[in-house]
Amino acid sequence: MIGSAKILELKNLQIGYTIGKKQASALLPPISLFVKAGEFVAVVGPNGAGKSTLLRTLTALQKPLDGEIFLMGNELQSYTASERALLISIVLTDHPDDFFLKAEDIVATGRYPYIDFWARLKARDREIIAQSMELCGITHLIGRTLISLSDGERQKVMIAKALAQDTPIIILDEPAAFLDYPSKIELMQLLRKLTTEQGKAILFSSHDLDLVLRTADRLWMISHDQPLVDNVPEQLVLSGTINKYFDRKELKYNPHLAHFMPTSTHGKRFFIKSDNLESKWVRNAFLRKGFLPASIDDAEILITFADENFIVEYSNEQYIYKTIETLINEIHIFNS
Amino acid sequence: MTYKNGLLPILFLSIFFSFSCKSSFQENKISAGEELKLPDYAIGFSVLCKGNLRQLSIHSPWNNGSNLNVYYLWPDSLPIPDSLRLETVILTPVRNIVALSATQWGPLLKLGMDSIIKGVSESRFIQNETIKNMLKSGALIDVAADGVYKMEQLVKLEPDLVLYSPDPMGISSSLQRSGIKLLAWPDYFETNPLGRAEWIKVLGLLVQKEVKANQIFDSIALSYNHLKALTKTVAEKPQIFADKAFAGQWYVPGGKSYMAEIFKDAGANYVFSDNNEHASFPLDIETILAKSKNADYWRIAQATDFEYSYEDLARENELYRAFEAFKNKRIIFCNTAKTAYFEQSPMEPHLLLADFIAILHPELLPDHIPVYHTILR
Amino acid sequence: MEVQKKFRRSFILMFSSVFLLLILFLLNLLWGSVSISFNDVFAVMTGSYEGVSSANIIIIEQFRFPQAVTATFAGAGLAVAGLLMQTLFRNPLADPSILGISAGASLGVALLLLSTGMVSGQALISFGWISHVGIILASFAGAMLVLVLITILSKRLMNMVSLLIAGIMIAYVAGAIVGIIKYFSHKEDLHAFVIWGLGSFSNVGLSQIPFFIIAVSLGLIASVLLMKPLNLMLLGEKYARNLGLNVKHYQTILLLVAGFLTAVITAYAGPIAFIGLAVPHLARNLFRSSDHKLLIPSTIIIGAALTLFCNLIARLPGFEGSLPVNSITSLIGAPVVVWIIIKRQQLYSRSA
Repeated sequence: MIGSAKILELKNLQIGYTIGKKQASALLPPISLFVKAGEFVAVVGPNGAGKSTLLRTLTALQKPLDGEIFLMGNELQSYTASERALLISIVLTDHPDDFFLKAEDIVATGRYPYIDFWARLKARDREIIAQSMELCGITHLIGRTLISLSDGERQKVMIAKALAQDTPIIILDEPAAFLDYPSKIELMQLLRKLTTEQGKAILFSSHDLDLVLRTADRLWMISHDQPLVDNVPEQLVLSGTINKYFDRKELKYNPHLAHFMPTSTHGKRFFIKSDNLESKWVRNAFLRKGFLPASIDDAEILITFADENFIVEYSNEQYIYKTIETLINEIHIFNS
Repeated sequence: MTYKNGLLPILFLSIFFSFSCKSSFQENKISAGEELKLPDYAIGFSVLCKGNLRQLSIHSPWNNGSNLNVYYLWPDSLPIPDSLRLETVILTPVRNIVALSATQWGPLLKLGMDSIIKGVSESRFIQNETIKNMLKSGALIDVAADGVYKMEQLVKLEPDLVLYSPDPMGISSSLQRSGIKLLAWPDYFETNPLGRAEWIKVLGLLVQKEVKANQIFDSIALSYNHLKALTKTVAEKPQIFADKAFAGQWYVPGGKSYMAEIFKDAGANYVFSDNNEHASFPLDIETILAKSKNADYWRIAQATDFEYSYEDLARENELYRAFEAFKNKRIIFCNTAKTAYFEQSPMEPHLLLADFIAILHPELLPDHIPVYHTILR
Repeated sequence: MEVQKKFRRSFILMFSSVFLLLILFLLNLLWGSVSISFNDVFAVMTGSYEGVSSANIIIIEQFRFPQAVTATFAGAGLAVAGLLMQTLFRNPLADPSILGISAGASLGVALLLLSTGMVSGQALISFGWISHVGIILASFAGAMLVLVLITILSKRLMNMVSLLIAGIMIAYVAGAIVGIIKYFSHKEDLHAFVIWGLGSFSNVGLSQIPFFIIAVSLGLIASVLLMKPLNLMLLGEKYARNLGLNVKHYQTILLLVAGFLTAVITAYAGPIAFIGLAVPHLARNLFRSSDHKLLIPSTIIIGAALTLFCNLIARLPGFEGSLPVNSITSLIGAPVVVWIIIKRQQLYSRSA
């Protein structure tokens, strides 16, 4: 383990594309950052902000426009392709589509930088492949072709390949993009486990802010027109930085609720007096229907859950519902 | 195959033999005991005589001065001199021959040598009854179809000689690999109608029927030249053009081609006689129309199962109606499916010529019965 | 356990394929329009010649043996060329003819036919046996020209799909030029071109066999040396680069090897369709693998066996060797391709 050594360091890095021979078009302001061993870092930003370009540049699939990238203390470009293969592994959004490529074949390619010209796997390589698959919980997928797997399983196969490659850093481009919610959480737990148990540095991109706020150690927030912000998720929320980077007129991140809320001002204000599980879900229903949360003094609607009844006070009248369903069925009354 | 040692045995042999060849070849002395015999009309072959030895050269139709084959013909009744290299010697008479085209087996039939023909090609199209019967009885077999040789059957025949039409690439290459003696037969490059018929003399040499071959040819030449002389004095030479578009391409006979010669000898004026091509060449229909619109006659050869008519022709292309020859119903037509035109006419140029004279100048041959050509009705 | 079973299955399959190949080779020597006994064939092949008629010796030595060897190596080479291209382009329908390499060979031959006709005013035939060598050289030159063009384009065009489309366009252009050349060609040469276009394994004589074997073997050996990069390329360009592969470099090498094989074989045997497309799929489906350590040898063996089989069909009694082998390879290869497309469709819908 390298401990808290800087695995990847960026100094005044400029990313983007060169158009034609001379014209360079930078996607982001210059970046200076680093990733340490055991860190779980997410690159977030709106779609099209340059997340993929940044990751491609960091994995040497694309040249930077300017600035420097240091990998394990040396310049990224100073490594040969085969040396780099021992230091960085990647997981991409597009997967191999060959019909007969099996899960274990893919994981085995992670060992290719280590094995001989004839691609013969030694006992040690087989062991590492088995361990990687075990760690990713895909041992039962041996013999299955990649195309027959679910998106989540496929993603785990590619992560196992990256593990087999045995590099200090793994870089993943939108690993959770096509997964259903439980799979997303499961995948994040797996990656988190790799950072804690294996000491890997993991850098991944995502456009799913909810998810990364819940899981990542640090966030790199990027957008076209503002400098990159690097901080722990909690600080980004509390300082309101999140809203600066995900700037939408109709949508704001609500730090109290820990998710994005519509910014509309024309809904009726409500307040829930009781504090129990039922109350939480009543709030969910009101928010969903476009009502605005407010303080007890401000509210036009007051709601209480007591004696197994939902009691709504609205324009000096009291409505009592036995179930949350009946309440929701009549919720439009309170918005007129 | 190389012939670099070819002349040595000749010189050696010339000391022993000093007979002279008697034939209707033009004689041309080269050195003592040698006689170069050039054909009267053909340009594709020549024979050098040295006593019993005949050196047969088949000239390249493309490269002046080079030969496709040089063979030494030696009678098999005599002991073979050691000096004769075996691979370039043909022992005569040849007893076992594969004749791939009608212009090869046709003259053999005329010489009465039916029994030595062991193989033919493209038998689907053969009209000759003798050959058809021999195919049926198994006396001979078909050794090539659609331009592809059935090499195994050909080799199995173990023929003394294969007469073939020189063709590039694989075909002659696989023939060469068979180890069988091959004799190129580029008779279709002869532009003189009598020159094409004169190749019977080569067959005469091969089967030791020189005298009979010469007789047959001489009588053909006599008739041909007689007919040709008739048209010398005609006052008016009608204009003629030939053929039609096929798959969008109209190939017309070159101005120096076989057909152009026939037209000239028949007392006609071929519209493209100024052209220098020896073979057919493609022209677009508008050029042909411009040159031939007012021509008197139009010659077409085509294979049809039915009675071909002017309407059938116009259905192929409405432009054909613009030709005067079409309007005046002066199309000279040869149905190649119903006549043995391709098979026999090369050996019967006098009959071909007579057909044209009888149509173009009926007063010269009032009693001629058409063989290949008639006016289309 | 699982691995061992898989290994045993592959071993049995490989062994049976080799056995089948040997049987088919032998059948090609035994089976022809002239019937020759096994003893005769055996005597000629072992060099004893005892009691064999000279005609039979010629048939076996000059025709059947070179033809069987040509079919074996042409089939192996075309199949491997197809496999390399399918992996290179990650496209199951890529094959030598799709990149325009076969069309380039045709163009070379057609150009030769026209230029000799134009320069000398004579048909190519006039040059005798030189014309035969000329056609091989012209076909090779044409194929290599397209190959160089494709290689240059592959450096310019960022992705493989554009390159594939460029290849198809090159094939169209070459085809169009061939059409124009045909229009101006001598009739006799046109006939020769049509015959060459039918494809045949009988063009290579015994004397040319050593060169043919060496040339094709060079390509086959090169492809065996490329097994590791090929496996990496299956993952796609980015993964392959991340795993240390110089992708651009190997793309060029793969193009050169596949192009060289196609050029040599097309030059000798004419354009042979579908072997390059169908055989790699047969190998993948048979061995249920995409590991090139298994695919390269199995493609070589199945390619050779299938081509020998097609050659055998073309010489069935009744056809007497006049059936163009290209028709047979198409008749057998095209349904294989259709079957693959249908099977893929099913696999996709099942996985979706």
